[in-house]
Amino acid sequence: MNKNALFYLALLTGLLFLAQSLLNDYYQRVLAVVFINIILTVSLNLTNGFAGDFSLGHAAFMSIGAYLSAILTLPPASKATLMPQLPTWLGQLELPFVVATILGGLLAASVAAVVGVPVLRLRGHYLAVATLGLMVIVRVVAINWTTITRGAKGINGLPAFTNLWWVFGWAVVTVYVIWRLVNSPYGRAMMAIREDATAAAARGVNVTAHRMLAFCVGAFFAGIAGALWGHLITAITPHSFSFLITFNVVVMLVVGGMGSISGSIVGATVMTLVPEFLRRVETSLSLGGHPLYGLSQIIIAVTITLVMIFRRRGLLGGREVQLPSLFDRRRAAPRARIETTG
Amino acid sequence: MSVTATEPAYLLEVDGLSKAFKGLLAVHDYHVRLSEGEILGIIGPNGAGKTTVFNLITGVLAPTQGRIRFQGYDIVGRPPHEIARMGIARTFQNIRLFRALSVLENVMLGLQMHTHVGLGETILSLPGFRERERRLAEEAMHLLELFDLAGMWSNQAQSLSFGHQRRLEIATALATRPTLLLLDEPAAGMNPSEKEELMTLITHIHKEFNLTIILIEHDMRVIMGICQRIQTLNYGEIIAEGTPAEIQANPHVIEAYLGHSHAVGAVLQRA
Repeated sequence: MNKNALFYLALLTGLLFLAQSLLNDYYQRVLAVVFINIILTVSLNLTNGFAGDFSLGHAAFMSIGAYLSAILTLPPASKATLMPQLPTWLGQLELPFVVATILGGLLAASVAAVVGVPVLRLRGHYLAVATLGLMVIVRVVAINWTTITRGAKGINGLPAFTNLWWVFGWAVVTVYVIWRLVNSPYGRAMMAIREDATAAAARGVNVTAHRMLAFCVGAFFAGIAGALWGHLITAITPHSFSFLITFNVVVMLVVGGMGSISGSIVGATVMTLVPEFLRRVETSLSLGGHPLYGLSQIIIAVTITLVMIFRRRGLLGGREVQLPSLFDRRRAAPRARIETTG
Repeated sequence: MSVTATEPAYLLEVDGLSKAFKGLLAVHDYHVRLSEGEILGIIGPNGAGKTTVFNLITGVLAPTQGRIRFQGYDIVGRPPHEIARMGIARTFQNIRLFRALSVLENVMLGLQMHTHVGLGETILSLPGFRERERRLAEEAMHLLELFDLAGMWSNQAQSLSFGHQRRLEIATALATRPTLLLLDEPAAGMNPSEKEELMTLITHIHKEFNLTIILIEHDMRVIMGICQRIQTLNYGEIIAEGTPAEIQANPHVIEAYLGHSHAVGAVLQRA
């Protein structure tokens, strides 16, 4: 990594220290959700924005990651009371949080690989609907596989392992991995497929393999985000990961701009903070004695509509923003020139 | 070009190739023997099945019947990307580029199938990976210079003019380092001077890259100018085959190609 990236990483780390010591629990939690949403949006961008497969399966993969990691991190004592029917080896198992998270991601990716075989035969709207079906399947399994998942009751009392550092660390890993992938022959092939799959194949690109790769990497990080989310809220049910989550992530992605990693970061941040802020506003405002519940949703809906009308390609329009460079003088030069002439 | 007496095998052998779409027989009993270094032209009215032949050879469509052998290997049933990797590259009738990618990236995409990079070294951005990317970009720039497109390497492919897009498409096809190049109406929509340039370009790359070429073209000047042998297709069947002179004189061709034999004769004579 170059000096510049390290500088910004250090800056963010410092800010995070500050946030940890200054912000109360509520704001820290909101910040954690911002980072989880960044993981979700950036990873969905790989599938939807770069490879061009409009997947709506993110909630399903989150659910898989959350359930597996929950079962793996719960202390054997709580598992004995919560899930007495668990196979003994699983009941005895207690893994460190980071291992459980990675395994959650890997299981989500494996499910994506299996599901991908039939689903990736489809494109466009058909693919979107099929991945939506996956969410329903995962939910039905979670409700009915009671020995493992406790069914509709869900699993509660998860150890609250998720803190700002975990979510920040995973968000950095997600952004880094996907940024590297996108700026490599793999990413070039994915974007070529998005632009024209027939032409990509005619230039030697294995279309199915690259779509599968994007789908599985996206699912992996969704699984990670699910694990982090579960250990933040400390309770998961089959209904935790509903269409609403998928919808929110898609909105973050579209508002930020598909095919732009920085766009996803901006989209996720804005679309997490603004609704949270508006929620507080609507309880403090009132019209004729009635609090204005639902106002935030209306404002968000209008905002999305406006973005779609005036900036259809998202806030960043599919481009990447570069943070000002502090070390590379060559790149910094044009900026300096603008400043002196302006 | 490099066909030696000890190696009499053809580069491409197609036999009894047919393709039916539901009831319609788009291609019927198409056959060809292509030696290394040849330039074959395919002409015929719209809907004669010319592009379908290309789609069958490149694996985009599966034939209903028939055999296609390339460099001695049976390629029927292989996926398009494998056929491309074996050395068959094509351009499309309605230019197909990766529109939102840069000119350079379009060419790099064609080149990259020859260098394998692992997922691990990509994500860790190891020196070996960076070195290969750098070499890929260099090679792509070299190819762009040859096509007079180097100056616009960072532009989006879709921002290029029509003529430049055609040239870029041929460049991306050549980037795959093909043995056999299939050009689908490369002169379509070009003015006479652009066509002239294109003919020079095709003749040039034919020599420079040791190519064997099949050229689908409507423009008689282009096709008569650069092809050694011409096949005429009509309603999916070969109705004539021969040298440009033979084709020009063939009454079947004259009748099929434009219908009115006198008018056509005049057109072909002028060409």
